[in-house]
Amino acid sequence: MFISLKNAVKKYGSGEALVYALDHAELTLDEGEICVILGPSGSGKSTLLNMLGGLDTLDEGELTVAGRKVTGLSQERRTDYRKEDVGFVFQFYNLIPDLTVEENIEVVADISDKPIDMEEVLNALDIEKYRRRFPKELSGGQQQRVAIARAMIKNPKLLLCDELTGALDTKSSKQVLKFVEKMNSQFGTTVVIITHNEAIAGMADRIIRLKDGQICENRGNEQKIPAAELVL
Amino acid sequence: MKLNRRYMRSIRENRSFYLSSTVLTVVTLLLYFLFNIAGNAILNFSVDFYERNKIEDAHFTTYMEIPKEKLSELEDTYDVTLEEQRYINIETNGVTARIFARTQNIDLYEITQGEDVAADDEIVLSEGYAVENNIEIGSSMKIGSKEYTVAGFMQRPDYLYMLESEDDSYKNISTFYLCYMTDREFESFGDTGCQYLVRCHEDSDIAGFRKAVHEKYYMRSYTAAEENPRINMVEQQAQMFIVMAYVLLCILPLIAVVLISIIISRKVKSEQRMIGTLSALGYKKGRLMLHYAGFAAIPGLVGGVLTAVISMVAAQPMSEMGLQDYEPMHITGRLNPLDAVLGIVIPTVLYVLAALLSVRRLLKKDTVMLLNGNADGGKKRGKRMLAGKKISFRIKFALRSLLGNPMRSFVVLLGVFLGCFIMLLGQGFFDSIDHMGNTAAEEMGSYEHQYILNEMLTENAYGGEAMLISAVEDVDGSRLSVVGTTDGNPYLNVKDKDGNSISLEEGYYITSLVQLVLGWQEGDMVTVYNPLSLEKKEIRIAGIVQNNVQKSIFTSKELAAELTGLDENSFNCIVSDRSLSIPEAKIAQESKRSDITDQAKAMTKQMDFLLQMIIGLGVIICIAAVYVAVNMLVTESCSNISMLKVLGYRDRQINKIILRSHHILLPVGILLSVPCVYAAAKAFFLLMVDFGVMLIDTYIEPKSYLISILLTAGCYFVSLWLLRRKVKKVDMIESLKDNRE
Repeated sequence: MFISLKNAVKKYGSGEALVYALDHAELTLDEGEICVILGPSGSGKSTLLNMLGGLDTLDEGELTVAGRKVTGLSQERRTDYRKEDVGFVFQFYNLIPDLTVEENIEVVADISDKPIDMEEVLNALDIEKYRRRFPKELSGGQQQRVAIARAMIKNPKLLLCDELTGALDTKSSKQVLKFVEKMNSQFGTTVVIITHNEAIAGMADRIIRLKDGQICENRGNEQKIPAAELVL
Repeated sequence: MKLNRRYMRSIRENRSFYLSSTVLTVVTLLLYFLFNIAGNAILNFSVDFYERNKIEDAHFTTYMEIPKEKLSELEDTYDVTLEEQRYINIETNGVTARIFARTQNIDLYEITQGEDVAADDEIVLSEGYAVENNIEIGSSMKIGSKEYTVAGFMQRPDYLYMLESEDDSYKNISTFYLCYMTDREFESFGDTGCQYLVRCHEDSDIAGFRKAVHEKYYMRSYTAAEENPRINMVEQQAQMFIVMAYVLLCILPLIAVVLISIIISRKVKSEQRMIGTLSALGYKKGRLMLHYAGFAAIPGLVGGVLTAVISMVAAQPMSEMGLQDYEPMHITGRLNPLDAVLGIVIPTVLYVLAALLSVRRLLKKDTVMLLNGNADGGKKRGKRMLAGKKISFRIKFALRSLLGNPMRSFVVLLGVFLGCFIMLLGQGFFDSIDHMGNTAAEEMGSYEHQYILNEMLTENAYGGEAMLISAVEDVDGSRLSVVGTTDGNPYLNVKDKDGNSISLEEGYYITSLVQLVLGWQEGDMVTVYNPLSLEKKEIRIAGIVQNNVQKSIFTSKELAAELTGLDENSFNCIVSDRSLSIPEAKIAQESKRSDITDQAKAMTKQMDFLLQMIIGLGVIICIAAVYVAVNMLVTESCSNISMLKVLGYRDRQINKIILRSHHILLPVGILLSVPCVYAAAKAFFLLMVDFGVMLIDTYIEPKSYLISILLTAGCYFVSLWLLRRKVKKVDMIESLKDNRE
């Protein structure tokens, strides 16, 4: 079992304003899977991603990723966990504006123990020609590919994508998803994609649906289709 | 406006910014306020006191006594007030009492404590001596062979700085005091000394008066009030504070206000999404500007009010602090209401202006750009620096962060500069005056003892080097000493500014101080007057002697005699490297070269508290200035910090990447402050020359550099240490959310 989330609870607020962002959620994922998590706004998708990525801590429950027990880790150890095991891709790319494409990727390579060769990643994501450009000089799709490259350079065990196509047009979205798929197959990375877009679920090995902080559906995808064939 | 509810929330969220910018506003304004209050308190007191007690415009002595009836004749002819002042010096157990007869119209004494004399066995004496020697009213004092009861303490306007002799360099309140007694008791002393006091009126013909007195009664000495250190030292002290406040300390509030204004304007810029949203919601430009003006006004208003309150409380002790050298002046340190209002209005207006300009500039941009947070996305210089070069991204990031955000770097630089400037300046003043004691002694010559004789001699049986010393006045009455000596005088260092020796046989050489004060240049033909006879002479300036201490003309004995009308074969001054056995009766004044060093040491001792205050406030300014600047750096780097955290960077690594890049500004700011301190101190000392102070060269001890650098660096790193918490507190999730919005 690559990811095991048991009885996860995350609360915000108190008294009458108490909200359960995760309400005794349970989840398991196998290594190398692409998992798409669907759900409406406020269902707890981002909270779940924050927990999986070690950005936040659970109030109750237990999370294990790649054999590492994430719950109970100190802040420093969670930083190590993010550094070693997790790659992030965000809706708005979150690239460092003062650094070029190559340098943004280098930011992660610099602290990785065994980073992948820069040229390999640049070529895999077809961004080699933009390597000296700054984020503002790229389109949304190109920036998102840089964000994927940045996440992948350290060869993470887990790639977490938060609404990665949310700010992109259909064409760019499909292209970005193809690259995610490629990363999954080329490097064997487990991928978790959080999205509103039901169509993306087509490329998943596993589909999870969240509602009010609870996992209401967790199923394997029998009819998985390549990203290139998705109708977004 | 409901929107204004954000004010309190904003203060809570940005309390470190509001606190440090308010502290910075307060401390920089406070230094200016306190010095200004102190200077004006002394000046106001002296003006009132002088007017109330009819201070002299000059005093003089003559070889022949002026008959009483002739005094009023002279008064009428030359429209002056003239009064005879009789006095006697009586030494008792090593302490000299200068007993004055009462005057009616000039230099009146004022009882400051106790009562005036009512009986022949009562005296009133100068308050400074009484305080220094713990003499109480009602106690007994022996003068000569007689015991007197102290009825009260007094002050006299021409003795607020208590010099026993006008030529003395430092006050004496331990073995010298002034004293008044009943007229009958004074007369019992018999033979007394006599000098004449003069007060001028609007139409007085003072030159005609002096000439007439000299012609009939032979002027022996004449001292105008402006040349009398007992009188002008008070104004010098007041002007020192005022000049310090206006010329030097004005720099601090100015820099602080610029620094805070820049930060406010950048803070407004960081609100562009909010401004865009409000604009999209229909908020008009005027309303938005008003809203942001409110934010900016807070540090100005709070800082200004706090400064006024602290100034009111500290005004009195601060004003009294600079008076340790003088007779206890009962001054009133008071904050001028106009200054208080300006102290509130000026920073507030400038902060508000910075915010308004920033909002106005943003509102000119497209609302969509504002909503996306891209409205300030102009081309940044240095942004592309080293792109593609095989250098670590950390170095590239540091350089781009520094050079790609010039205004932000400027703010950090300004913070460091400001802190180092004030601390180095305080120590620079102290060191310069201390150093002046040594250099001034060197500039005066290599002699250890100087004897001014009270008669002209032709044969020097005592040793040392004989010189002819006299004085002349310029057209405005400014007095210059004339030194006639030989080129072979081993005790004088008569050299030009390049260090070359000068031959005095060739003409009249003025000192560099005279050149500065009177503007005379080499080759100029100038008019000088004999201070006693007012006889006019024209002389050509042969050159400039490097000497910033004395207002003198150096020349040969022959030329000095020609200029002053004395005999060229006689002398009235001896300088020597050792003590000479000259009979007491022949010595008018004896001084040591070390006197000026001692005077400087006494001045620096008196300045010690001021120095500590300036350094203390300097530390606060430095921490506050650097803190607001670096705080801005951290705030503006929040999204980068959070991203680095998400990517697995540790806090220490983030500190290195984000904050360390600006460390280079620390030595740069310190280095920049050094020439500025020299320029400011030079300007200050040059201005003080106008008030009769010698020109003090700016000098900073290596120890002071070290202290200032260490303190500035300490303040910088303390600020960073305080801000490490802020870096730690940057919330990854909140920051990512901000990016999603």
